[in-house]
Amino acid sequence: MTSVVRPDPAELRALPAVAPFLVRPGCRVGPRTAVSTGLAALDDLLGGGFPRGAITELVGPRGCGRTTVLLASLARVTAGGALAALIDAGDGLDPGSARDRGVALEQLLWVRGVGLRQAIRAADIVVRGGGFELIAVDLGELAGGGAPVAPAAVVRLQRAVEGTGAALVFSGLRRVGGSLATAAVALSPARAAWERGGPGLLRALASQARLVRARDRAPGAAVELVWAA
Amino acid sequence: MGGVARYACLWVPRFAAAALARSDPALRGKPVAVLAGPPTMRTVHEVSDAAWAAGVRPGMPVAEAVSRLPGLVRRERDGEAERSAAAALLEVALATSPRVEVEAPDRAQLDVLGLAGLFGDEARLAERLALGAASVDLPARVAIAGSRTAGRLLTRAAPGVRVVPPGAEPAALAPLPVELLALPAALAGTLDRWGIRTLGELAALPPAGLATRLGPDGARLRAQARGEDAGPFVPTAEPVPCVEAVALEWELTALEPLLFVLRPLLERLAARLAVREQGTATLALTCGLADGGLHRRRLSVSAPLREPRTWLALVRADLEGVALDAPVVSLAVEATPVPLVPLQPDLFTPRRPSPHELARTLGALTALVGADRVGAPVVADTHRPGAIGVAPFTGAIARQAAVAALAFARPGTLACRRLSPPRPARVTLEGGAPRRVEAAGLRGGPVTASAGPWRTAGEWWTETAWSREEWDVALPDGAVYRLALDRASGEWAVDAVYD
Repeated sequence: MTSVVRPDPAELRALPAVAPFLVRPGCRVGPRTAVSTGLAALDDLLGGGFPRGAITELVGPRGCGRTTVLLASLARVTAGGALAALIDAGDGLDPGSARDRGVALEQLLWVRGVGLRQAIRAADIVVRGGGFELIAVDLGELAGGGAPVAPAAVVRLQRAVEGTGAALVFSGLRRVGGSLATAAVALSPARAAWERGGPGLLRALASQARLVRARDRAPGAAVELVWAA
Repeated sequence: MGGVARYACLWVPRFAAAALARSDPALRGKPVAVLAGPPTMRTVHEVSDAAWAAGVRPGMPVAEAVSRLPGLVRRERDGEAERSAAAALLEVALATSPRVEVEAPDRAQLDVLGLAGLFGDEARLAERLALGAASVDLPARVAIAGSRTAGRLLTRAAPGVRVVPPGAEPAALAPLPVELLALPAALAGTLDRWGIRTLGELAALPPAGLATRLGPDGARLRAQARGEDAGPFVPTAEPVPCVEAVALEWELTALEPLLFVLRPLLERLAARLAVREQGTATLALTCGLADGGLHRRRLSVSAPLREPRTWLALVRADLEGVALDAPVVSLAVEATPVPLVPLQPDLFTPRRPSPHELARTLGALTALVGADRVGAPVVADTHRPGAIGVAPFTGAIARQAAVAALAFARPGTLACRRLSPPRPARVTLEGGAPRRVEAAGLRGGPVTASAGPWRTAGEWWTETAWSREEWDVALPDGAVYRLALDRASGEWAVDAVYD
């Protein structure tokens, strides 16, 4: 007697995205409902990575490591053969830095220097356009003390990304998605480690990532992230 | 006749008025008279259905027409609109049959022998033609018969769609009035005196006697009444330009009104491309100016599109920075039709947008933020700081290269974020090293830790030579910044933060 297994359509959509990772040595296979951040500790904290079809927020002060997290996840996505988009509201991307961290620049759609309002609209266009696995909206320092993001715009974005295989990530000084975000991670101010002697070198930056919002787990968990310079 | 040939006649009655209503949808359903002739003798060239119903007829002096219908809308004949309408009609025909004869701008004859099976039957084929014409805003009549003459007469006789089975043409034509033959007045009077009222009665007259009494016209008229064609079918081989144009009755001096006029043009162009089942990756916009000049713009996207909203947004973005020499008095948009390329999905790669989807997304983004702010990041082939660029984003996936890049890269290592623009800084040195930094937008103060200097220089063989000194400095806000000294000017700036 044979049994017929009917796969979940959402899983089928996500299957090609994880296929490259199945054969990559040394990499964990995350749940198909998430896009890996490229950082194992952060993946564990988030339960596999940035959730697909949902908004994730990454917040923290200047120098806390948000850019490094974004570049690591963009590198992982592009190495998997997928397309990624970076809505760079503050025009802060350093392409050389991104390339050195493994981002396939040809697969990265970069919308640069557009300001807060246009960044939201650009994200909406990219989400609705489809075909991008990770859409990162780097608000830089725009959402600090300026005009807040209109809640209606975020609702519209959340509705648009829902049901797609894309992960939408907001990165900024403070949260803009409120309860519409499925997950949120707060990065603490970084601690720099210096190597003394000789000319002196910046050796590493360490930051604590704390889960402040999650759908399937209690917030409050934290992990230590250390980035070598 | 007799089933060896089948033709579909596609005819738009009151063509000049229909073309005008297509160009200006506000005229639809209104009594419109299209005027022509020298300024001192303006006459009605064509009328809309509503004007016809009110008794206005082509050839009338304008004064008489207005006296019959005071609310008559009078418009000048628009050659551009008629050309666009004729091309759209031809596209509808060519979308159904590759063999089309253009008898007049308002009428196309299609060779449909053997095509019925493709669409179900001839009735469906005729419906398809009528719907195709309606999709490009042309109210067309369709008749399918064994001869072009029969089709022409049948479309003139009644609106809608008519299919005459093979061999039934004489019976179908017989009850139709002889006026459909567009007889000269003298000839019409003669037939009237003879008591000939219908085509069937005319067709039944003896040919020899008719030729004796009416000359060559008699034989020709009898052949038409029998539904016989006078000449061979000559299919057109001319390419159909995909152009929509309009001549304006007023001058446009602002962008918004221009876009308001342009929107229906683009929508009609998209409808025509839909009839062709094609799209376009380039759009040529020509603005006719009041001083007689032309202003041309050419827009391109990465893959064919058929989205009037996206094109309109692109045109808006393109024209926003343009100053024209004179007001705009006419507009024309031309598309270069190309097939819409579907993407064959791959089971073993992540889903990515089709070229069409991607072009639509890029087009909308370009319209939103400008072409120079959308693309793929590029690392310039220089060590000059800040030398970055944007390349067109194609969505091409170099997967092996990407995996190799990741293998040799240092993922997860500390990255830096550019401060755009770099913040000019006042730096206090002590022992050659920065000890205090003040910069706009930063919480300046004493440097808590620093590393450096790293000196770089380049392009010393050109006039754009650069030389700088970089420091990593930790400031009181806890962040670590990259501080740079331009050694040529001696100016300091904070240009990045480790983040």
